[in-house]
Amino acid sequence: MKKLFATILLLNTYAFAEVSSINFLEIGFEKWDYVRPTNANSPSGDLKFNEAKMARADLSFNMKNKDQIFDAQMYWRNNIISFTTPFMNLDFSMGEDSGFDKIKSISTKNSSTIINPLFFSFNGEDFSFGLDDMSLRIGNFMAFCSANNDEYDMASAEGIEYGCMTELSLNANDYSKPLMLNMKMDYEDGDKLDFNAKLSNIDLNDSTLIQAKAVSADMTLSKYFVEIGAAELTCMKKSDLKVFDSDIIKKDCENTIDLKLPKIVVNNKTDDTKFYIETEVINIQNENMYFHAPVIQFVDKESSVTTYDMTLKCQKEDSATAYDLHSMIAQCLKSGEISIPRLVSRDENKLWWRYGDILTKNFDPTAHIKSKEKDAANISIRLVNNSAVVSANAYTKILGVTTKFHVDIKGSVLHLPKKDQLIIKVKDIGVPIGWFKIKWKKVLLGIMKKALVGEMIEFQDDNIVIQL
Amino acid sequence: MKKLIYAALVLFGTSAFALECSGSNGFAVSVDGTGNGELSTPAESVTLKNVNGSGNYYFAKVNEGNIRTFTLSVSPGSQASTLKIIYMRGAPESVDVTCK
Repeated sequence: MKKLFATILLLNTYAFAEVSSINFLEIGFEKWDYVRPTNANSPSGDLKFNEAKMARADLSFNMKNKDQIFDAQMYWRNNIISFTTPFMNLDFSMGEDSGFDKIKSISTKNSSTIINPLFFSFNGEDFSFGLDDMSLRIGNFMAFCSANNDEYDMASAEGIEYGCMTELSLNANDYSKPLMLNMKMDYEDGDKLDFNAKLSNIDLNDSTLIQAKAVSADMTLSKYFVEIGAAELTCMKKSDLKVFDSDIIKKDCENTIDLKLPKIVVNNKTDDTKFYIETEVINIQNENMYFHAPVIQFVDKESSVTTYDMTLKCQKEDSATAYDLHSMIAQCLKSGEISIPRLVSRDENKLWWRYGDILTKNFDPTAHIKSKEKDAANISIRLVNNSAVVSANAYTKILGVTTKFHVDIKGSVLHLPKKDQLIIKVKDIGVPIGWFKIKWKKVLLGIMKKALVGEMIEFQDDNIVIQL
Repeated sequence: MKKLIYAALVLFGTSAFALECSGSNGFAVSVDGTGNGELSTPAESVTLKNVNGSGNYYFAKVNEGNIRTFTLSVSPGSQASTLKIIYMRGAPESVDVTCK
């Protein structure tokens, strides 16, 4: 973000000292494009501005770019940004530690910014910047920051950063349309993330409370395409953090997160399975994670499995990463509890094709499941240091009669992040009186095979291999 | 004598800072010598306190109604000015006003 501020402050790099100053910059950009040059002598971008108003101490001037006479070419060399026009040149020294060289690209159009001692605003149609491994683009945006302290002078790069870490609101510029966000990231393991969101707002209040509301969002990560309906995020950052440190903010936020994601649809592009998740609570507080999903459904083209009222409680040490699946699996294997009061497994031949209607037409993929249907109930899984104790009631038809069995399973779970695998080693199965273990295992595995969807599960002797 | 000096200071202060600007469609801003005043838009009027600035640029926090803040830039040597209003909801608005 420092780099972002640096780019916005390109035309304002002189130092402001006094709070009582009326140093200011207002500039309207018609278009500004920058691509990091491979050759320092080649132009690296173009700047077209409509109007600029600048002041420092007693010097102020207004410039209107009438007839585009100040349309400029931009150069980046020797830590200096130069704007060259036929009539004048402007050079801005960025200093040796500005980090500007890490910025791969910047682009904005039809936007304007105001910088003065009391506040910072930046609004417009489009703004994007790219680094080597990520890019961020926002459209229809209005950002406003204030330090909430009239004694503090925000008219500097540090001042803007301080203000935006105190009070920040990011809204739609044109309120009839959403604020658009696109983020692309390249991970070291080769995975690529492409995240798109239509947002209502992102706010930071009192230096602490971060809130974001999305109208909808979608994300492509590896083989998964995830669609999300309306969503709300609340989390905290430390109030004394007044500089933008994305790692600290991300960590503070994930350890205090409260997410409301009523509807999520996940498409696995490689094996044609789809997931539907209704969540009521996703939060992390005091090194514990709690997840409650009224409905989770897995479908392929032939069958479905639906769980009702699943809850998941796991430890979540501050050092663990909430958005890293393997990190959270490791946490849950250390100490976790999963409860599934009801599970229904069915043959389906149309449901998979209706999943596209869930978010667009409010289609309920569980509406056809009768309230009495269940293949398993009261499933409880307790995990402690990679040991698992499972108890459940299973229902299967014997000679046409639905019969209930209670089963207890003990085992251990081997977690192989590098192979993206979980291996459950079944050690002991508590069987109903009158059943031979070997026979029960066949019945149990039969139920499990029926209850599991997709190609991610494989049975190898007494081991269940889950490919993530 | 004290009263005279006081009056002179008040007059000086007032003339140094006070301004009154108006534009079309009901946009107007006025600030007295103490930095207090009023800002009007077609939709609302809000009270201004502690307006900062001098010469050719003014700004203040507002946070009242739908108005978050404003800036007013007066072109040197000209009465033509630009009033920019930043709203809580909606895009910033830039209007031409004439100041006296």
